[in-house]
Amino acid sequence: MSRRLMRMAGAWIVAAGLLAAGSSLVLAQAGAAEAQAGPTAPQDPAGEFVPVKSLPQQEQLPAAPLLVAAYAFVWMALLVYVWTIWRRLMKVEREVRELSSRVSEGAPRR
Amino acid sequence: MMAFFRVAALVMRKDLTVEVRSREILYTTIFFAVSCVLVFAFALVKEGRPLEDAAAGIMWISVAFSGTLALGRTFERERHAETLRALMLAPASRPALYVGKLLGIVLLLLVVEAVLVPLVGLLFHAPIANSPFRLMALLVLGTIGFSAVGTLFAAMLVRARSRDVMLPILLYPITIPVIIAGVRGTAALLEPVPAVELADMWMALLAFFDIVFVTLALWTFEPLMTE
Amino acid sequence: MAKVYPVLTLVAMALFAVAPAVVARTPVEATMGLVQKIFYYHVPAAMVMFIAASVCGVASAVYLFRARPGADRLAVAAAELTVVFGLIVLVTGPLWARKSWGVWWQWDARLTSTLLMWMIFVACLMVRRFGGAGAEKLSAAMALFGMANVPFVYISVNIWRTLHPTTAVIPKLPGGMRGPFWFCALSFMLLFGLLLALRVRLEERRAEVEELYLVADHD
Repeated sequence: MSRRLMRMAGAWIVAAGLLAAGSSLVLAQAGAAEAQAGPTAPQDPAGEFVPVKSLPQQEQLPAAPLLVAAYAFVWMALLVYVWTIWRRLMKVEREVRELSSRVSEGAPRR
Repeated sequence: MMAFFRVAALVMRKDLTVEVRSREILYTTIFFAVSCVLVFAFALVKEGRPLEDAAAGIMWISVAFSGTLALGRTFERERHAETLRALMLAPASRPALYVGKLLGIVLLLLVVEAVLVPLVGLLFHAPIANSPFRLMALLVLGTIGFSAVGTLFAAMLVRARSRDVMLPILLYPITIPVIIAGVRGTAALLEPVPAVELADMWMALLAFFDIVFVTLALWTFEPLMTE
Repeated sequence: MAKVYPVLTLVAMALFAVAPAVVARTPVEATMGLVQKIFYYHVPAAMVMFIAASVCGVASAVYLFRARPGADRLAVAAAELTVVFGLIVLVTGPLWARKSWGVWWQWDARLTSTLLMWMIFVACLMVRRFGGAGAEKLSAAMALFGMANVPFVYISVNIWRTLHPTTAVIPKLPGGMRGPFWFCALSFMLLFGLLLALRVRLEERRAEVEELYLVADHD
């Protein structure tokens, strides 16, 4: 049962990795399109709306890298976490196998 | 009900008696708190004078740091003499023991604050006499909140490994809201014209924290201390 | 029980595969623009963080008061997931805030209380690792305080005035955003359930190893 789980986890990781790469590309394309399409007015705590072009250069932050970074981080965090579980599970499975063989070896000698 | 308070009072009196004889923890904690204030005063100096708005923050940070030390030292003393196990063996209700220890710590910290607050007022030109009763209420409520969690964890950590570093790790994430409320309330009171409603709001929040923390601590003290 | 895992994993994978495409087609928000689309991962992750924290708290209470080892296993799994999903919230949030508010971080009620709650669960894991014997009970007590934080963090944004959007945003989501949002929320929760089961399984195997060690040494 646990071997099936490990294989499932592995398949999940590979598939998710491919999907992450693919979706990041999709989103980046969508982002590029949006950035060219219309002005995005950044929120001004004072309550005013300011057209994008009259802002100083450094405030015209492109949104797409932030969006892609956010989604990429989510995927990465989940993948890394699944990988750590898988790694620990493999270690424990190995210990179980070693101990089982040790116990079964010990028994007949008695 | 009366037995509960009698046990708590007994434990508190025991702690106070032990402390009054040596005054070790009291003196060292006061000295540490004063050093803390001085370190911050010198670190936050501008043109030869300490930052005046920093008084509230520095006061509470010093209370938090010296409180952590005092908690560690108090329970270290218990561990050394194995009196904690004796207390646990006594036929007294565990929550009452907890309340007794809590009152002892709170009293110790209040004495430290009695020294600290005038010093902070002096060094930072802070108008601590503006609303003295509200300031005292803030300090009492904040100290109770901080000590409630601290006593619980310090008692449990007596038997744990790396207990000295574990106490801050466990204590600070839980008690930082208490410190924040204390600092904001004190800052409101130390303004040239004290913002009394704001301070009252923070005081209400502190009271809320106190109720939640003491309730949780009373609830979990027994299973935590039982092996 | 074992037969349901492959099906659930496939469903979760499918949901996650579709999610970015679904999100790419959502309407762009008026004031915040493209970066608002982080919302579709940020808020479901926060929902899962709250659920995980609550599961950890309840399991810890059961462990403290009923001394059931299964409850402790569930508590450690839930604590780890609170830390993971909390990290997701605390990273995607600032990435959104950088564009939307102009700063990476604000010490307002919502952000501060979320960070503190996250740190409580990190401390839970640390005390289990470095606390020596009896650390599980300490971790359980911490988790109770952590769970007590959950309602406070949730309503903090309604009580205090912060830059962070209030909880009223979710019920008032416009139609084009509502579907994708709940789709993402569902996939995150399904993922949480799966990861929780997987992690608890790891703890159960570890417990089996302990048993085997006892048997092996006894010989």
